[in-house]
Amino acid sequence: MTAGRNRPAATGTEPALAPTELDRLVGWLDERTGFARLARTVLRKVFPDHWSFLLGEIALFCYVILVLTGVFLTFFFAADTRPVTYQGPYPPLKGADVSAAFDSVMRLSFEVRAGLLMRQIHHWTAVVFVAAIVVHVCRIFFTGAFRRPREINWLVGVGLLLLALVAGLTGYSLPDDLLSGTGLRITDAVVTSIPFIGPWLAYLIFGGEFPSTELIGRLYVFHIMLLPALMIGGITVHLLILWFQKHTQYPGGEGRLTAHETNVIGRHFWPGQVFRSFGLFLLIAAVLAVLGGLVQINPVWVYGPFVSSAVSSPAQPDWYLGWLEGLLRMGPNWEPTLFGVTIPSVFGPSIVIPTIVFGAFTLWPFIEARVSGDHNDHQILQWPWQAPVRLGIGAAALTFFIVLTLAGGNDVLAVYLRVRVEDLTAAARILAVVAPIAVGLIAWRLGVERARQVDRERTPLEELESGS
Amino acid sequence: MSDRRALGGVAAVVAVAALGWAVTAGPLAPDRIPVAEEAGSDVASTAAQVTEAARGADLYQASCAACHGPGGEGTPNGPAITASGAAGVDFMLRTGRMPLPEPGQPVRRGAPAFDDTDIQALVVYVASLGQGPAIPDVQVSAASDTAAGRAAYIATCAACHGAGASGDAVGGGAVAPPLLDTAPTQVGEAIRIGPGAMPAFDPSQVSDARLGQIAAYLQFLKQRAAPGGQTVGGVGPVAEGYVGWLVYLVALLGVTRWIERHRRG
Amino acid sequence: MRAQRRIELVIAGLFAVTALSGVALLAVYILGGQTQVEGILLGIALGSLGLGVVLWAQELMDTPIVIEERQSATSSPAEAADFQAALTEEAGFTRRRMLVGMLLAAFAGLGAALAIPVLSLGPAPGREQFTTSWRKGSRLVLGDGTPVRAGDLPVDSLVTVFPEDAIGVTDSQTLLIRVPPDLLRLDPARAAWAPGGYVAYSKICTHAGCPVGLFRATERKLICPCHQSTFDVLAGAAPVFGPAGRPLPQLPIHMEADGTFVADGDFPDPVGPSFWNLTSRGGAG
Repeated sequence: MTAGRNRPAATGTEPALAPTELDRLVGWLDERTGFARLARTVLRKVFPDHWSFLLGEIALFCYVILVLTGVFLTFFFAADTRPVTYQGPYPPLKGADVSAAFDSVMRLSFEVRAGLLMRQIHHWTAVVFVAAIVVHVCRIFFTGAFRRPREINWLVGVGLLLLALVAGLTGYSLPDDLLSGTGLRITDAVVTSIPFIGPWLAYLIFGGEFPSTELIGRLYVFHIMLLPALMIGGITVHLLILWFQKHTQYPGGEGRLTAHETNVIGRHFWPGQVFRSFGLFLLIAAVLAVLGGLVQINPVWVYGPFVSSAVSSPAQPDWYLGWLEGLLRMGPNWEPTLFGVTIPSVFGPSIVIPTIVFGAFTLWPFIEARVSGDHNDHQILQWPWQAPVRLGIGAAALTFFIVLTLAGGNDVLAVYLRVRVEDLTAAARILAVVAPIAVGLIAWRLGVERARQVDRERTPLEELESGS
Repeated sequence: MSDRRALGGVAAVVAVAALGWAVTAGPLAPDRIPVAEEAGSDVASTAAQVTEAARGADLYQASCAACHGPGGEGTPNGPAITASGAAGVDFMLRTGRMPLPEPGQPVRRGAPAFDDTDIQALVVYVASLGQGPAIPDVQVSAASDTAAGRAAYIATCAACHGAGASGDAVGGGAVAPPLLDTAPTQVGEAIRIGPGAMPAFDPSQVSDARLGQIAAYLQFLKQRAAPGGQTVGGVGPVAEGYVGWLVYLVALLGVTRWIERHRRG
Repeated sequence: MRAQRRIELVIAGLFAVTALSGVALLAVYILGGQTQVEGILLGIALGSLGLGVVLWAQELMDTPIVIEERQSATSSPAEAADFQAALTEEAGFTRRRMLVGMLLAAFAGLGAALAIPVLSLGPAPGREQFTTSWRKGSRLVLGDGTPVRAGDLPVDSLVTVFPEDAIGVTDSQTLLIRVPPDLLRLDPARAAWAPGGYVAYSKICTHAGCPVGLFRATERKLICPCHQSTFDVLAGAAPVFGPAGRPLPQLPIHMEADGTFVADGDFPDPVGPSFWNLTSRGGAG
């Protein structure tokens, strides 16, 4: 309950003054476009406020920062694998044979003023961007925000997550350095492993046998053109749908106002929400700027240029593909040949399992509706414990991905835990099955307990009010 | 109420992430164990001194013979070291890998158990037990060719020790240790003798001049290869991922919670 | 009112900090730039502006809680009917079924025609998947072109070699490893492929294609850094741990009188990651 509501409005009822420049501009625009009517609707839109509704905004603002820093980087990056001799100021690479792409990233890092800062902010933002999407998805999932009528936006969101993963992979591969070259090699093997069409598909994507000279240029087109365009389209649709369907809201309400399926309780978009969101954007940018300035990321000069016969350890992708790395590391070495068709050992862990998991994830709103038989519209969110089965499944899925991600860094972990890598792999194989089940059951159980407890505490009056 | 619980959940995740980071890349990371300062050893000039040889023999019998045998021929507890040469003994002693606290303990880098004089005495004595590689003359100077060093390092060493020399597990319980704190002479000795699971490299593959260049490159990596700031362990995307999550969970979620604060009453 | 005045001053101060750090950033830039200082100044500039904006909203703006009704998203029956009529009746879609069918077929054909140029992105895979640059008579040389000689390599050591005429070619990278000959457990048919204990295996992992660059000399095991596939050098590079399903292909070699090594042909199996028809290779060699 705010005191502000009861105070005489200080801002809205000032005596009419002579029209200002701003008024004249608004008038001019409105006469021609009817813009004021639309703007009024926008500014007066009601947003429920809860901090968790800003989780998606974090991802959105990361995307904006990625575009801004990315545009700067494009002015200096050369998407070209032609060999050149490095002549820049970094002594250990003097005279080294590098690709023009690698050379341009070196120049960006050592010769372009503020270039290294922009590169590091861009890369750190990408790392945080995917984390922000993952947490946002978790919020949507565990509160049931994906339920009818919001299935379409769930699908759009899943698409955006996948695009973000591909954008990350294509992005960190661009410098043509030793570490990312290793990642591309694995990508080539993954595509090649698909039965029947694999080799053809890999040749189409890579322009021939790995490593081809076409690759960096293609990745570049994907990274700076196709993927960002698709993502902007996706984000636009995502936000438009959100706009028209309005936010969900948590059960309960604000002060004396009770949340119902048929109302929205919150604050006007303008000015409070706009200022807060703008402030959030600035503060996120501030954190990432400091991070980009103080913590080194992807030092391509240390990895050196891509040389196909060289390799560096530890060799991992950025964290958001660590689960795939983990799956590949713990995969069995089965490679059966049936009727002359070999199923490469890469195929199961990198194509089949991700397809099943992401398939179920994508279709989750429909699966849940089918299983629960609940096909009603829902504007009121659930607390995670109000749907214990979903809570359990979600917790299990998260645990699965955490185990896989840890397994993807098993060599690094092995050093610090002082155990054998082989033992960690064996442990990961067991944990990838056991841990999700255990955590899922515990989460489910806790949810059920909590639901019972709340049921006991509910007063008859509340029972009456919530109308159930 | 539910807000507070959610905050507790966030705090728990943050704590776990922080711990993970601290243990793998942060202040608790094991590779921060202080590593011995190692001076170049000048064995040749003292090799002739008889008293030193006697001291070496005494030290050997007291600290090494139990496992390696009275004449370096090896026992069930330890391998023969007659072929280790001055390079092998010097490496093991100056990096604190030998003597082991107990027979059968894993061989790990640490502070050297002997002072410089004792190490020289032991080196002279053990080298006299058989034939083995001499301590290489690893020359590092400001004029060293770090470009040649880098090329050799990437081709020969980076597969196991990592391009950033952060070290890595190579399976079978073996670890290629981080090299940024290893003294030039010990870098050269390791390349010549191939300690533990590491293969050895002859002068025909890696010349003595090249040893100096590789050592110079490692010094460059340690001192001058981080224009971007903190290196978070130098292990690459694994540590970077932890840092990214830590920043997200602490800074960005913190900011978000604060922004949605509303003036009440 | 005094509290409001104080907050206003704080916010104004924050905005001033932003302006000042902007100027400082410019100065750092002109002086040559320094990544850490730039990052901190940019952070301060953005951060104090952000703090000021949020404080403004939190402390000085009146943002009352309001309530709004939700409208049903579903269109009224009349609207829906009108839309359907507009879509189908007015355009004649419902009456001219045949035409609509052909129109869809035309679109499908056009789509396929427009998609065909995508095939130009890459050649069709051919025999190069099954072969490398190794030929009968290719000399084994280092990356700098010098031939490897017996005796250059200590026992339990290794080098990366290429065919003399294809140095640096990815699919031809090969490891030459010297092991104690009496320990080798090669297939009897390949007993001659290890002259003097020198064996040559493809360096490309049969799992995901990374260079198998790690060697545990004491155990004579090769390890791939990407997914830890481990290959036993003594047993024909058979996989003993990790996800690789095939041995590293072995290169048939012999030693010349001058101590150099020469290949007796290409690898007998495809190198690198497996693919579905890898067993269909027809008598190459």
